[in-house]
Amino acid sequence: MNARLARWLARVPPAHRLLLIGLAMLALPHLLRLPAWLALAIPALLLWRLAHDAGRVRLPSRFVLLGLVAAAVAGLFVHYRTLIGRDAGSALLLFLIAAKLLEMHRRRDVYVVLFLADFLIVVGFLFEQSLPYTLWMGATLLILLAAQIHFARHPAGGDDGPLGPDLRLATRLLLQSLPLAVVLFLFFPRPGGPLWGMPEDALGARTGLSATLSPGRISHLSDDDAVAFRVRFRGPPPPPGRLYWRGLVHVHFDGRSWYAPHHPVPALQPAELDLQELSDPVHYTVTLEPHDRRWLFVLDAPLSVPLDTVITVDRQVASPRPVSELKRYSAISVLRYRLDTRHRPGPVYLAVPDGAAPRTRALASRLRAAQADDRALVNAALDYLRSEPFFYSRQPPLLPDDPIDGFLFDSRIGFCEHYASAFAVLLRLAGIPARVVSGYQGGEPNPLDDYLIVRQSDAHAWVEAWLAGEGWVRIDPTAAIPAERILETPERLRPRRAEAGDRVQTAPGWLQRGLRRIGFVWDMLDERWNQWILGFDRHRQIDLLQRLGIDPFDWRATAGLLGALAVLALAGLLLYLRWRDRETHDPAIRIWRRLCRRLARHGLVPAPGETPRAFGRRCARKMQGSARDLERIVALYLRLRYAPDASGRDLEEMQRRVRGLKLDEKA
Amino acid sequence: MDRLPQPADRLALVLDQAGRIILGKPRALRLSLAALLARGHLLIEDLPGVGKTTLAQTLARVLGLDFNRIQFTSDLLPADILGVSVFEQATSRFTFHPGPIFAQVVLADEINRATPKAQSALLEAMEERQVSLEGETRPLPEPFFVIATQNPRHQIGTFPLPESQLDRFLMRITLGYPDAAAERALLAGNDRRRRLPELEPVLDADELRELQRTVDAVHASDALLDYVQALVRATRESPDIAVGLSPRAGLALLQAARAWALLDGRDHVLPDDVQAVLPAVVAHRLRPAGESRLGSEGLVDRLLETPVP
Repeated sequence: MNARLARWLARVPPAHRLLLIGLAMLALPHLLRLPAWLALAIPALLLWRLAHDAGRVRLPSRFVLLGLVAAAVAGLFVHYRTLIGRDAGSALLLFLIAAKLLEMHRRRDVYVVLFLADFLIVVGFLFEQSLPYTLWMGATLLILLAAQIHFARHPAGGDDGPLGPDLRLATRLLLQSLPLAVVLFLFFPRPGGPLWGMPEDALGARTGLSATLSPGRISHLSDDDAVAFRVRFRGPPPPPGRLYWRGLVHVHFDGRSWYAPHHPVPALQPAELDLQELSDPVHYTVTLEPHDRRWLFVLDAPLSVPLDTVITVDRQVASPRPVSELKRYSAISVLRYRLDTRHRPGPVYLAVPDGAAPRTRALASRLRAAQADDRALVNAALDYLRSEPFFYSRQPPLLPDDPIDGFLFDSRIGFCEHYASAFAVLLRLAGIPARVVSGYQGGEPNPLDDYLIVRQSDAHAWVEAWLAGEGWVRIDPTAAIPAERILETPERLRPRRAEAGDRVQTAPGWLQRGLRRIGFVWDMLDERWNQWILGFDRHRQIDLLQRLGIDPFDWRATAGLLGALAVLALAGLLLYLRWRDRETHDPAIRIWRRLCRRLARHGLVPAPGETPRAFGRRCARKMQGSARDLERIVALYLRLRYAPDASGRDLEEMQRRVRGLKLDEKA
Repeated sequence: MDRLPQPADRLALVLDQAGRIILGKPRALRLSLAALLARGHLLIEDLPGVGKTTLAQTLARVLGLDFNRIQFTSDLLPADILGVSVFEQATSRFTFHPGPIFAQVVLADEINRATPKAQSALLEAMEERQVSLEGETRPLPEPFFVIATQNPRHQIGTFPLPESQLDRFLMRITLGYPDAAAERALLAGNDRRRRLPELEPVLDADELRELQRTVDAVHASDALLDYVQALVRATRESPDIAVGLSPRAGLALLQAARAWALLDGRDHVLPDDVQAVLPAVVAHRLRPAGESRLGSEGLVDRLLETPVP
């Protein structure tokens, strides 16, 4: 059976095989995005062409093809409600390429297919720009280019000849185009927006934190291992237990859910920051994966934030636009601090709707009656969580009624959001200003490189309470739950106390260790890709230009730079040519080349493989007026190059004659 | 001094004399003489009756050499070529009767009609320039020049020479039909072969040996050796050629170019000489690669485009 299949495939002309492989590679990443019928139709069309090339079936008639295309266009319109835009447009293009295969008769058709495929490669980057995808598309481009070279080299039929040279040439061409690509990548003017972004359809559902915190509505916490952001510290990273990445600050509570203040909020001026540093500042750079929200994540508490961002009274850092492409920013934080000690926060931090959580209200009153001091009350409340049978679970029961009372007195099973939310309400009801902060906690150091990976599964929520004299204090009620009351595998528990570095060593079995290591290598590559390729946005381009001493807003300077680069490239080329011709220290050859350059101005250029004597005769025929001189010069040159008894006098004579030569066509 | 008047003039005279018999084929004649001067052997591939035998006889006559002709047939045995030892009653001893190969110019006619066995007897003798029979080695005369003729391969009942054997011929040429003027002169004149005895030998064997030594002394500069090397390398790197030229082929090319330069009256080789002999020396040694659509002429044309350093 296999042998039969192989024989069958051997009948397909190699260039067609290459073309079909390239198209299959191109289509593969798209198929997952397409409606199912189209995802099946496209491989079917490719197979149809393959079967035709193997001599098995006939291509459809024009009418059948027309019907197919019409049906597909109608189907696409029904599915997407449009034919333009990123999703519908690329699906249509892919279908048309596959359909064009069925009427590919002449070389022109082949080129149409190839150029459309090249265009679709570009379109694909509107969906994805990851490193593996880029490598895959590079390989696809190589195959398609080789097919194109093959068709160009074998115009008649294009069915014979080995593919090896074509693949080699395609590789060489791609490699040769790399320097130009680098120059364009670095210096081509970039739009302010995302390089590949198409915000209308690109804002799909992405995992990440939500602006609303509704404990009791979500029945399970995601175990998404996707990277939220990566951090590089200047200097040694702080211990994992201190890494609280602040994202959103939820201030408003409506009895069920917590809300972050709406934008725009009054931005805080740096002078208004009331922050006492109790430890050395930590410098770090975050590379944030796009999450389509405006907020950024900074270590608690931020001291300095990126230039183009705002910081609110709640110390929430926001970017002016939703983060829809990879964003890189630097920030400085202090891990031990005193914040806003001077003024007691307003009543909004104490607000709990009337009638919400009556039993919690009673508990708060009881605690308040026992403890006059705020700090003591917080500790008593934490003790309450510790002493009562509270459990941690990532899949807690739903709380349809009052989520606060329901959690604190009935279910007593929950994850960070439940604890943070209930704890903040408890404090507010006891008269202590409190807010819920959501973000990420911890992070996993990549042992191969000094950066930290923070994943979606590291998402966390905690409480900040305002205590007189201490200001805003971070309290993590989830951490109060003892380890034995965690209901799922402890490996997944937050906060992750174990250093990831230890885990590499202690993980059982070489295979798991190896896989983990590969995981880290992969993440490192991904991180570099993000940093250096995708993270190279307009700001970094401007930064680079400025570092090169060029004002990017001054077109003259930019033009000057490009001019200088062109001159440099030209100089490099000339140097290379000189280096290549370095063996021409034979003065006779140099004089001969000078003569050839002069003759070239009269349209006389040696044909490939033409000997000097034959060329000289041809020139003498054309330049009747100088025929004698030319013949003498050629004779001298031949003697100098090939005869055993040439002398310095011959060289001098040749030089003299070439210098004094007057080229004249008329006798 | 880039002219060697004496040898060049003598050779010009040879060509002139032979040209009286061989009409309208100056280039084939010149190539044949070059092959002889370069101590090589010549393979003529052509239809019967275009004058192959006449060419061989004429050369032998003009150069003052003795001549033998071996007609190759499918029942030809090695002994028919090399000779046999015969027991003689009178002396009670074996006496060696030399075969037709013991001549200075040997015409091996229609070599591809004989079996490989007979072919290889000839080809070994060509290569070694001696005959080993019954434990005794007998040198062949000096100079020794074989002109083999071959019918084009597609003719029925032939044993085409394998490539390894073809390599032993310095050159392969074709004569082709004469042009109209030459054919008319042929038809109008007497039978050319009858006029052969009228020809006066221009050289003798000693002089020819001297000329062969002169060929060895023709200067090939570094630049020229670069060119020969570039050509050989090009055959090895070309995707159109199945197997590139051997070192022996490179030497043959250089030696033939030297002979050509001497015929041109020069004491040094020019790239033009290499190009002049290239098709005759190289074409029969090259086989197009399986995928290539170029014939051997196309390969040579492509080769001639190799840049001259």
